[in-house]
Amino acid sequence: METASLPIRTVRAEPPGWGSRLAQAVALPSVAARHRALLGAFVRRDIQSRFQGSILGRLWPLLHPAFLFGLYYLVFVSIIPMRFEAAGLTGNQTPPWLFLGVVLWGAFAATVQRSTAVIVDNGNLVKMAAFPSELLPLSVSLAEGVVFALGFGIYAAAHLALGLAVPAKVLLLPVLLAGLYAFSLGLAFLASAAYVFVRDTANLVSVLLLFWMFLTPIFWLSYLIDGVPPTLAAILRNNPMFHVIEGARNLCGLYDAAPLPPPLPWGSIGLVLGSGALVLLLGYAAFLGARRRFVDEI
Amino acid sequence: MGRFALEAVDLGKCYRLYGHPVGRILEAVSRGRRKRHREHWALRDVNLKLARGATLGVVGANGAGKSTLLRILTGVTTPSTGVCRIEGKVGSLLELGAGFHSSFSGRDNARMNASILGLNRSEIEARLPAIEAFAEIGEFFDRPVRTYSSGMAMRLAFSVASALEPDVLLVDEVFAVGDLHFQRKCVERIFELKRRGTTIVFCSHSLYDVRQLCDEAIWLRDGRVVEHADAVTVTNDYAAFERSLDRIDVEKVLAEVPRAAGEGERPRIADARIYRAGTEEEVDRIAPGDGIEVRVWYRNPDPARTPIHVAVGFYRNDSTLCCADSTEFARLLVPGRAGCVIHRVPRVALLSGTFHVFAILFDERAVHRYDQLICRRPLVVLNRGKDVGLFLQDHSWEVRPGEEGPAAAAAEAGARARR
Repeated sequence: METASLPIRTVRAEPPGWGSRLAQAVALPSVAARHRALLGAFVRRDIQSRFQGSILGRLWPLLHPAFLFGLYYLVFVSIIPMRFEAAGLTGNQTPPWLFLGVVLWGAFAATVQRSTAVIVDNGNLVKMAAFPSELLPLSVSLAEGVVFALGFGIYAAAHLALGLAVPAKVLLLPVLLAGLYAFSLGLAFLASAAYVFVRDTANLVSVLLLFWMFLTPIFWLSYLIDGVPPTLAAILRNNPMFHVIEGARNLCGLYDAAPLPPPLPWGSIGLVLGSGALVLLLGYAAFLGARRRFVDEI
Repeated sequence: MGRFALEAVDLGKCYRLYGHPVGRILEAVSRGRRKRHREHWALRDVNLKLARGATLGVVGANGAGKSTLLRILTGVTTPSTGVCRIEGKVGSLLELGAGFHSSFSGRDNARMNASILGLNRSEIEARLPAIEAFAEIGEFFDRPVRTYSSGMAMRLAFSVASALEPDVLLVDEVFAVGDLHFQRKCVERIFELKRRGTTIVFCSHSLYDVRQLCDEAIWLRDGRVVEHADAVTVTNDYAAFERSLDRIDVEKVLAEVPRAAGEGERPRIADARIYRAGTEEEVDRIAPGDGIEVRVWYRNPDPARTPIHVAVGFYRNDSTLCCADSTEFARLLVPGRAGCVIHRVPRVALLSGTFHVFAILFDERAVHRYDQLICRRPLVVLNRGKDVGLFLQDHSWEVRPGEEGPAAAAAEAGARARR
């Protein structure tokens, strides 16, 4: 009989244990694949809504990073020629070096920051039966991924325009970026779930991100860490974002002009991939556990 | 297993109320050793078994747990105790706006809902024209949902939920925002789904709709199932026992009748009680058609100075004054320093409800009030038939097949005159 094939849904009072949640968390890619059309619609809407009604419309995601790069070039090359010669950076390399760091950090910080309120803001959707709420942080992360891709496009154009070499090791960059994506998404899951229960999360997240940004070598050179007390140095060196940004700069060949070019950043890649996978798995599993009570709190 | 479309066992839902947001954190930090919340059980010990194709009505006052029950059945929230099991695609109409992305158009929202229910792209596209046609919102179907009025949002929600052919449909009272035309369309669509074998849970304050649509019903009070029986019985009992007004409010209403001025000892009502007609048996629970009498004992210390009249009336406990009459209207005298006035009702015409019976002592023109009293126990009328409303009027029916109305007859006469 055809009725025998009806899907059966059972809801229990007892929350699933960490074991089954972790098992469920591994299935995140299949959830995303099943709802890819919807996810695509969310991402398009997210990007469109930011520039809706403006004359230049779709150009803005591209113009924004382009102006930012122009600003760095103006300030760091024309006004205060900043030379980080110790790291082997020439004047021409400084703006791309800074810009790459800012774009990477921006992708990470925006994903976490904008995901924080995404569950609460979309309460109407979360109240829908069977709505897969993980799509919400997921769509934010993908939209930020698109914005990052445009920013990186500007970086690549500048890199070539400035006549910098393109090393073969840049082919390893996608691996590093995959780790960054997982790391950002994992924290996005945690922050969005926490915000449902404790609304202080939004402020806490922005303050923590500000601290984190300055503790990451975006605007300063990593060798400066050698001068700080060992405990702080250990923290700074094990910061995954340190390895994301320094690793990416290395892979893009920005340090190759140094007297002693750095080796391939296998350590950084490993650390970023490992921490990304761990944070994503735990973050999503925690999200799955908290999700049962979202509607009660919204 | 498998015989029931919907099954709930010991379902309960407890909300934790924190006095201050810090409480939640302190509690989490102490790993539950310190309790910082009050518990509110919105739902308790609910057991349900619905066969495939059955329709269940849910009635109850605001805050009785109806919406919580539907939310759990839908799977939007999880129960605190118990298990619930649903077989098949679940369609739901709970809160207005739930399930819509405010910046998506109606069309995109319909697509989104359908895809979450598991329909594939071609199935979705095939259903869109029907959804658009049923909603009757014109060009708004392609505009963002945030520009909709609440009526339009309800129209869209209902067309989407019903067009996706759910196996189980859960409907909370949302028709209230629609206009009469659309409300009727909704009810018709629900009947159609019922005919097609959809299992339906229907929450409504319209006892008439519940009675007409549902086979069985439950009555929720304070989160518990008070009664689970056929829909006619449950709605009658609910109407008889539950409406939100107590004696205090009736006293307040009566107190608005102006008080008579004057000094000295005032006339007063000593007692008022309800008896089964012609007996000495006090009653507080009757059926329509029963005979009762309301006896009012009065004391009037100075009848010459303060002549009195007695009024007796019935308030339904939602503050509807159903009927009242007085000895003044009937041109009777109420003489003496003490006595009893009897108000006889040979056949009670009231239908299901809880009624407060009151007596008032008026001055001789029945304008100013000396005293009033509400019978200690309210009178509960319990109807077992299907009649709805406040009263059962004396009536009869006649059917005359083929007869045309006076307008048609007049038109015909006019046409003949013109020829």
